Amino acid sequence: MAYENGVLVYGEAKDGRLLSITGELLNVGRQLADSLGQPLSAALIGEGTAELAQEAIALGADKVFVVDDAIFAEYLHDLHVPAAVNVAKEVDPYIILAGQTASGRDLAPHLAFHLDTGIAIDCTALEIDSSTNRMRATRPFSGGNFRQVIGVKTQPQMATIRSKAIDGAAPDTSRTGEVVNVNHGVDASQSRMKFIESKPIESEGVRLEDADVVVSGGRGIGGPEGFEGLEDLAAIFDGGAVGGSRAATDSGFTAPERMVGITGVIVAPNLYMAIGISGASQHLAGCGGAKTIVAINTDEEAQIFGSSSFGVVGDYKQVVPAFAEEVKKLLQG
Amino acid sequence: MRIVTCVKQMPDPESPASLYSIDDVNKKVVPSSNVPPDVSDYDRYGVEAALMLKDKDADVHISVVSLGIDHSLDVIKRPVAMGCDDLYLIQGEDLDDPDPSITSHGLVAAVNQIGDVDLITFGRQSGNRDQASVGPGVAVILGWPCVTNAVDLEDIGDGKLRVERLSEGGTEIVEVNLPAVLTFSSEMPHQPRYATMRGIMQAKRVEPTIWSASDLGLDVASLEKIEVLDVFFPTSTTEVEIIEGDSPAEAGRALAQRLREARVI
Ligand SMILES: Cc1cc2nc3c(=O)[nH]c(=O)nc-3n(C[C@H](O)[C@H](O)[C@H](O)COP(=O)(O)OP(=O)(O)OC[C@H]3O[C@@H](n4cnc5c(N)ncnc54)[C@H](O)[C@@H]3O)c2cc1C
Repeated sequence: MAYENGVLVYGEAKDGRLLSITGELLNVGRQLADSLGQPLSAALIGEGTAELAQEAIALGADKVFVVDDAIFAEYLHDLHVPAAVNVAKEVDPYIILAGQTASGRDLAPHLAFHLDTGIAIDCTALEIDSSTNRMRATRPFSGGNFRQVIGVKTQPQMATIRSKAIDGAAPDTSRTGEVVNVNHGVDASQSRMKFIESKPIESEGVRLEDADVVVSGGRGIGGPEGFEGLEDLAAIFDGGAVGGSRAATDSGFTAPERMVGITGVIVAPNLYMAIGISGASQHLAGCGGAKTIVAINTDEEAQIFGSSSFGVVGDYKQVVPAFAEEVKKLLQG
Repeated sequence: MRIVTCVKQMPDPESPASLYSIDDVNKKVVPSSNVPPDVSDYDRYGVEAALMLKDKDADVHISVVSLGIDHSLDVIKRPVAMGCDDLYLIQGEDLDDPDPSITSHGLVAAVNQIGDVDLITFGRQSGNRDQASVGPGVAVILGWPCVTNAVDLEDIGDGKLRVERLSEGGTEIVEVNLPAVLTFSSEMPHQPRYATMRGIMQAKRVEPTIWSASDLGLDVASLEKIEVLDVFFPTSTTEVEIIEGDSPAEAGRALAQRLREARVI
């Protein structure tokens, strides 16, 4: 059993910088490695990742395994998975962690089956059980209605972590570590998949996942027209963005990429406004990390009030315009 | 083309948590009898994707495969009523919502029994486990390519599909060689279709083929890779402060002032 090889995290980078999930993985990975008294390694698969190795060390890695090749510029399943398998075999770790992100949620379960091991998906807390020295992985399930603690019975023990569930590591530039270039051994010509093009979402202003204030609407908004008022409200705030519930996006009230929730975007803004949203667990899974949730709903029994700090019981059509006007005054004053 | 679409039966995902109790011995949540069974939500999109191919090519044959315990025929025949052709059930006491490793191996065994399958479609994740692992597991065991979180597909001939999938900050188009595994998310061009009258009649006539794990040569216990150590309800500590006013507009203004006072804005 490769006990001594510690924890391996799969970091993510884009446009020449590490994504925040990498800091979150290194933070929890460091805690697990320290509990075990074992090293923490990071794998960085991508293009231009060699230059990010020092940054990963500053965030807690002892060793960084770099796969830096133009063929990995975009995440493509059929190239990334074999490269990740090769890194895992080279490192032979005790624990493997990845992010439950657009690419990590594809990579991680495939990697687990290739390594013939088990995985706990979308976890919000990880710890080492000091009596068994094995990982305990806490995860929400059934759309967030319940929690379970998973133990992986096989080796290596794998888990993915939900984005924004765990704080990112603070960089310490005085840390030192080792950088290893890995020969990925992937022949792109053998790929059974071809990347054709990406269709990025054109959105003005701040990205929903980075927004400081998120104004979300649900089925109660009634149609696309109602969302225009939410756009106006979001625009009043510096760093405001509009989101929606699945009922709102499925009905075409707003664009699908605006969906907040377990299978949509995960946001953790300072202020989350849930307007005409009932508060299903699957929706709350995407906004539960907000500092303050405010609900506006005609139904005083709506579940959303149970997760909110402030609420107004009333028709949003009357509440929101007056609220928006008053906010504008306060922010200008 | 021969398609297998995999469908899970589970308790209605939108029933509130208060209708469940916790079985501490078996580390499970147990729905009360007021929670009806349903087809796992995202699986309906995998079914729809298969039907989109059949719409364009009447020679497409779609088999529905479900692994579990206590299948309700009313529920599990819904994909047939939507337009699929036949139904295979893998059933047993040892297949009560098992580990994704067990489910994946069971589905692969069924696919091998069915034979000559070109495409397997799934939902992106089940609505009660949210593990998103069975589609990938089936792909790895079969050695087939897998596109997860697909939202649209087109048969472009030459043994290839063109697939649009969710990516970081948008979508992307990939081409994938068949045989392949695809998992679907709900951001498709349209919602899954309703059953037709004809489909409902067809579903009535369909007799499912039923296999047990041992019929398929599976040693269930040896395939288990994860265990549930504990299960509990999340605790909520939020206490809501309801802002009132003489009119809804007054309440809206008062809310803004209260948020300012609390330094939220
Ligand atoms: C597997 C699975 C995954 C899912 N993933 C997600 C996800 O990621 N994100 C997500 O959001 N959902 C998700 N869902 C769906 C989720 O279960 C709920 O169905 C959905 O969130 C409900 O959206 P809603 O609150 O807008 O609609 P509803 O539940 O219909 O609520 C509408 C609310 O609007 C209120 N209202 C009506 N009129 C007004 C008015 N004039 N003014 C103010 N309030 C008004 C009503 O009182 C009600 O509370 C998922 C479901 C499943 C099964």
